Amino acid sequence: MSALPVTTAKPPLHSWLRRLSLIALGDRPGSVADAAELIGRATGSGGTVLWESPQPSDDAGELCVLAAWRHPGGPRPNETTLRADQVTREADLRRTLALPKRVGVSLMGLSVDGALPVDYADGSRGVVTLCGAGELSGAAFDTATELLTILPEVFTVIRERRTLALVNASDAILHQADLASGTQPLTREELLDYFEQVCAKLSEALHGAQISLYLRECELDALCGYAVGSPTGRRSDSAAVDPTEARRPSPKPDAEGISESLINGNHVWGVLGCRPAPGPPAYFTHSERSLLRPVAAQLARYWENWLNRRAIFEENESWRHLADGITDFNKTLADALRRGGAATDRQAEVVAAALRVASSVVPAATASAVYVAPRGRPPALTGRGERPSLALAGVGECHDISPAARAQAETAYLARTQRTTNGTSPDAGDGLDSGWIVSTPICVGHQAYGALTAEGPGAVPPPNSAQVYDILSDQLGLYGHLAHTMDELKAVQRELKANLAEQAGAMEDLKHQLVSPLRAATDRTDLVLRRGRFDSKTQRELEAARGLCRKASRVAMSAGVFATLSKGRLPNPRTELLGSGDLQRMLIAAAADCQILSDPDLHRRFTVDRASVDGLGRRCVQVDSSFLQQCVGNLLDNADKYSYPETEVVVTAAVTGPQFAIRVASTGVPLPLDDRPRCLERNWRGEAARRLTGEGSGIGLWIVDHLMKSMKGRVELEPAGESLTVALILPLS
Amino acid sequence: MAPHFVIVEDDHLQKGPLEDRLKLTFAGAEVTTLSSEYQFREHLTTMRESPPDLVLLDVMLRWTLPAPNAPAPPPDVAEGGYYRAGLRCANLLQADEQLRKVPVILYTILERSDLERDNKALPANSGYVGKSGDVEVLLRKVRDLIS
Repeated sequence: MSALPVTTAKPPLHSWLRRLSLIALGDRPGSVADAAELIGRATGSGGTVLWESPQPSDDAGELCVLAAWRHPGGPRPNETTLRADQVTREADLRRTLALPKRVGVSLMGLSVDGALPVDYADGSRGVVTLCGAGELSGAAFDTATELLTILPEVFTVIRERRTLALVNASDAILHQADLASGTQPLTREELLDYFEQVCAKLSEALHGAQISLYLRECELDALCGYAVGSPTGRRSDSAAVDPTEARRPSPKPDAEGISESLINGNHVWGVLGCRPAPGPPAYFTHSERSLLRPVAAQLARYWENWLNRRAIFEENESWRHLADGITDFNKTLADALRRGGAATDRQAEVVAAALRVASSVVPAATASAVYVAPRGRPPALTGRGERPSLALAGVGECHDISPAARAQAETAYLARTQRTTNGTSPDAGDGLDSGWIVSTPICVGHQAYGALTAEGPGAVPPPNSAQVYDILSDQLGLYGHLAHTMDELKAVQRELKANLAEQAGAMEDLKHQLVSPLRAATDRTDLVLRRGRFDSKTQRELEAARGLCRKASRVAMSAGVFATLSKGRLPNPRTELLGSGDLQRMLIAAAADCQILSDPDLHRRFTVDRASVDGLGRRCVQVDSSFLQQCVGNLLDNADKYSYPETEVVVTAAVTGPQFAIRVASTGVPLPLDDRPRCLERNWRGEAARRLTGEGSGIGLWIVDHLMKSMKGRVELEPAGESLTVALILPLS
Repeated sequence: MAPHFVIVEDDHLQKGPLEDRLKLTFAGAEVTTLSSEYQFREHLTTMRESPPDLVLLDVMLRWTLPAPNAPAPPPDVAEGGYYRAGLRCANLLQADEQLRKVPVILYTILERSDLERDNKALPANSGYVGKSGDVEVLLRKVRDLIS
């Protein structure tokens, strides 16, 4: 409040009362000093001092100056140097009006006229000292008495408004901190900048007092001092006071300073200290101390929230790091499983990768190691106190591991449960001065492969470290299991390959033994047919015998091709050039065989379009004739197997650009379009074919496909409802 | 009295010679030849009216011949498949009150041990003869059973 105007005509008492109430309730908040001035002017005094009495507990306490006013004609009073005079002390002591008993009692260079006691609304007491008028007149006394009746309430409102203003200012600063924090919490340094601004506001409200803030991050930590808000604005990382003392701040306001604990709920997060500004002695009144409490509560609440938020953020970050790390780790794991080489080298590589992830995600760990159990010797508690022998793995990362951590790894491995030792735990062994150890077994189901152990400083492990080690151990267990299984599978695969090769060899041998007599039988039957003349029935029987021999030769050859393909090799064609005549003979012989072997009751007809084969002209195709016979024979066999009765199987040929195609068209069990891509797969049979006839093993077209590929040709299937055309396409030479 | 045989064989190259040998060996024999499991099931009613003296069953039998309106196999055939169709037919005869006394020969390329796999014995009405170059073995068995 600005200085009140000096008026010659003295306003009536009700006017002073209204002005006094406006100091508290007006639009612009007034101060205690404004109240002191108003009382001085209302009583016609040359100066006024408002005092606050010491608390009853303060044995050596003195009256504190709340505000002092002196008429503008004189020098400005220095509140810090004022000491209560005899009259004031008497009024405070007796709690009644005190007048000077002798001339010469002065205050601020003015004679003391009298002092009146005042009881403030918050329970504290005080005195108003009037001086500079020569003597206290009756009117002045009456006016002062009337004003003092509302002064306590006025003071209460002034203080509350001042406290509210400080809290609002502090709240606005912390709100700015919230806005600045964004998606991640502020750093400690950034946060302390904002706390410093709050302390500066507090300092401003406390006449430039030096504010010290002591904080800690957990109940067991020592307080760390930050001299924020001081006039110099300097911050110190070292405690400015004994932290033990600071943990229990003195509630007494005195010349040395005041302090308030930073309490939120049951947690004490630090101390807010306040010392008078350098210079002559100053006071902190009870009303000033009341300013500290809400600010301390605000800071405590914000500090705890920040700690929680930072913990959550750090935990989230560590999960993110873990996710990234696990992705990389899994790549290493997959590489190690895919790659050959010594098992121990691969294991060391995987373990090293796991330890890298561990140290990245839990940076607080100072050492970590993986112990791997000897292969083939699962851990077993014998009950005789025997300890398992663990071979050290992860060389390079384990040198710093303590004996206690190694011992705990063995315990976790044996018990197959995670073990955690805190720095303060009675389980902490001799090797652990202070700090934590987390040991996690590496196992899958009941199979244990070893243990992962880590240690670090501090009372407790980082919040999510146990889960992190659990996950990494699971991954290592999975690797151990997969590596073991893959080794077993590889052994089985080797055995199977050897068996398969042996069987394929036997099959090839059987083929050779079978084909020769069958060819001889075919040739002899052919010879008999050419040389002799027979009745029609004998002729048919002989032709059927020849056809059966040829079919048996094809089956034997199929067995040979199957054996070759089973060994992982491709059939090796012995190519020759075939013209249209050769192809015609081959196709007619194959169709004739099929016709003679087909069930006559079903009345199927097998025909070859000779003219279409003539379309080849003088050009040739380079093929292995036995392979091509095999392919055509297989297609005609299929047509005979799946064609409807009374239908015709037609063999045609065509030249299209640089290609020559032989097509076998038939009508029978339909092939769905969706099944077309699978027809050339090994052991695949169409649903309808399987359901109706049941015959066949599904390798005929698979063999044809490989034989055609070996001759640089291909097979194409063109289904259309119940019709199916299978084309053998070969390059023209 | 001339015997009546029923042959169930889906390979026409085999059933013709077999039919001829039976007729040649057993003078005046009547031979009915069926080509699929479906035909066999269809023929059961006829067989009940006039039970044959012997049924000769191939084991690996197609369900039916390819045809535009071929009947879908019943669930037991769809589940059991083609490889043991003859055994299914023998069991149908064994389960039939009127046909259980008809002797059955399982005439197959399969080994007997293949048929008795999983400790499954052959149906009580059935005997086994493996297909080989020598048909005389079969003919002797037929003679034993119908005499």
